[in-house]
Amino acid sequence: MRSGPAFQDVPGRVRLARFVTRREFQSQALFIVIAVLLVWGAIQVAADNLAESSGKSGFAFLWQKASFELGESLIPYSAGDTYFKAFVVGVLNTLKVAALGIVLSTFVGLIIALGQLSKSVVIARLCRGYVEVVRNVPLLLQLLFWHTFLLRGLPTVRQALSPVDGVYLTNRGLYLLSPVAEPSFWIVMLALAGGIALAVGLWFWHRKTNAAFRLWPWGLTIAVLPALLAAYVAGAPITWEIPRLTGFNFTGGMTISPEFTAMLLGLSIYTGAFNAEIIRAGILGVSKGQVEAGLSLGLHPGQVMRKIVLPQALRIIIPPISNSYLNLTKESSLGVAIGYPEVVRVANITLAETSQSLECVSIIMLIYLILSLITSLILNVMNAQTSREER
Amino acid sequence: MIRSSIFAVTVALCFGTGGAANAADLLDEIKDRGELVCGTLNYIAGVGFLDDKGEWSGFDVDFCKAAGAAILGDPKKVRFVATTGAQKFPALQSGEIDILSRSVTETISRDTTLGFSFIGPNHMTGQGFMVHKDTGVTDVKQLDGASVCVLAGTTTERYLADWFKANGMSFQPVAAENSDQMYSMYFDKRCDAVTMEPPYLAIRRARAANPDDHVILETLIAKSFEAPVIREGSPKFFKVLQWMHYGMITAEELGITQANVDEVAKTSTNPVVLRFLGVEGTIGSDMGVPNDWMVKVIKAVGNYGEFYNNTLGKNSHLQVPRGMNALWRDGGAMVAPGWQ
Repeated sequence: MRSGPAFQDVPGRVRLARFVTRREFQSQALFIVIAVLLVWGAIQVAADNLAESSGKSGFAFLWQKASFELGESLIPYSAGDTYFKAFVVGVLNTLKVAALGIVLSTFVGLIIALGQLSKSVVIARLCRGYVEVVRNVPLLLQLLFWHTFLLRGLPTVRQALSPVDGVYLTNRGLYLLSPVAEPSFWIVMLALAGGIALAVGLWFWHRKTNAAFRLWPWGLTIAVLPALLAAYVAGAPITWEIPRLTGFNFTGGMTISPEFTAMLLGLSIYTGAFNAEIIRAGILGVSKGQVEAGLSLGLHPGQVMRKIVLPQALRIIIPPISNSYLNLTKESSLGVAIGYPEVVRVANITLAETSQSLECVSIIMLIYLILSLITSLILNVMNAQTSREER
Repeated sequence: MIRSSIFAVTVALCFGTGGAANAADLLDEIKDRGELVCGTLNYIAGVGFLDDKGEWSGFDVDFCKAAGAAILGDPKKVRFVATTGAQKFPALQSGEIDILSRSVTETISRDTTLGFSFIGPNHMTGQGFMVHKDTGVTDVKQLDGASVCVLAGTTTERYLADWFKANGMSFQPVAAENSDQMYSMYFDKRCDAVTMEPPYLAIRRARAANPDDHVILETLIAKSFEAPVIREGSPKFFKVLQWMHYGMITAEELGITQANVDEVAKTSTNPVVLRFLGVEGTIGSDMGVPNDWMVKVIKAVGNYGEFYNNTLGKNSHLQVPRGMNALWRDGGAMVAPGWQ
């Protein structure tokens, strides 16, 4: 604000400032009131129209029985459970593919970024080519490609590829041994927890007294030994369930469906290309002098990368990469195109059953909003922590 | 406040013509507009198809053409809108389309809770399975544990789950967003069986690399009576469409065809026929359409038999037998009340 000749006239300035703030406050308040009225009006009109056109609205349908199957689920679900539970299954499937996709796409991004910065022209060009190709092909097409590739490229159930006994690769998924907890499982787990506690105690003692022995072999032994003894006494904590071909399909064991694999591949490869650019920018953002200083201290180039460049690059990387993670989470909704039972697929099928389209769409919007807010919250915390090291 | 009411009006317009449509019967609105808007399919030849010349054809499409002929006197005064499985009901509810003729299966919940009125049903079939011959399956009861390809968001998905549950059997659903994807997954053996109405299964089997490798099981797990559907609240519009459907059946009973309809109207002395074709009486104008509306309908798509045979049946490339869709007097289920 300009002070000018009224510089000493403090009360006048304050009055002016108060007047301005009051006016600003009034216009802001008016704006909020109008906005609220608009939203309220829209909701009312929509509700009236919906009531007229279908006679059904509201979220009571969530507690009705859903009569559809979803194929894959992290929690037991079958037709006859509520729509609410079906939505939970959908959200969990979304989270599963998003979480694994975030991890995998970061690895892909890191490798491709380092590759692009490699001294070898061939590797650098290859990685550059990867980024250019993958970034410029729409994700939906890539998902359809991977899905079709897995269905056409892999053998049928009867001609399953079995590299090791108990592992079967087919176009209906990868069937693996799955661990089954035996009664002794918890005893062994308890013993393991005790062992780890002992090892931590040992670590503290070692730090305090600087006793002359190597920590790692002893710590590891103390951590694992009780569990091994317990397993020897009480019996094996887990047994393996082997998938077997019974009738049409393999049953038992663990299944990784081609839809999930296609989603994971598509999302990781696509987002990986974006992450590669973000990471490359982060690494190049660390001044060259830092690298040279590290090398002149006699550090190995790998060590320079791990201990000097990457920690500093992280500060530059985290804000843009959190956007990339958010995009990945949201883009997992494309899974509906290849029949992966994520939350949009659940909403679509619920919509078809109940015809409560506005409700179903608002549920998806709310879920993605919450997921995005959680992701950005976590990354904001991480960002705050890495920034603090800047001092 | 003024702004908010303007916005409310805008929203009301966006969310459909609710108020306006309820005031007047849709029949009058369509006549004023001079155009009928029909939601249908654009990718299944014989049912609803948009060809490379921009021509619409098929069973579901022809029903709308007939409706255009009945109400506006011209089957060309119909605008077709391709709708997907997920948006077909919202499109109808919002007033974007007047009729949804898209092989919609009539069910009690759809009829009584969605604010819809079903016409007909004009295509009676059921839900069946096609399986790979090498699975050795000859009966649906042998499908326990099978992977089944199913079209997402259709009644087939629901009936499938219901039927397996009722029979204490399990299955692995493999959902597809559209039918091309569903059949492609089936042919790639992603699933052992694919479920759909047998006429559509037959269409796809005919196009398979080796049609003999696939068996369409005889047992149907659910009946599927398909019907065009409109929004509730337009009794005149509903009556016209319902009696147009009956009229096409009546025409077949009376032996009136696309080829001879003009001739019959001129030469017939049968009072039933004369009343039916609107040469005598005011049945049509009492309903709010021209008296010769059935002549226009028959000229546009033929009687029910022609309508069926030209799109799905023996005159089409699909060759689906009439089955239940034959006239009642021929052992089918197609009936029409008397034209008195």
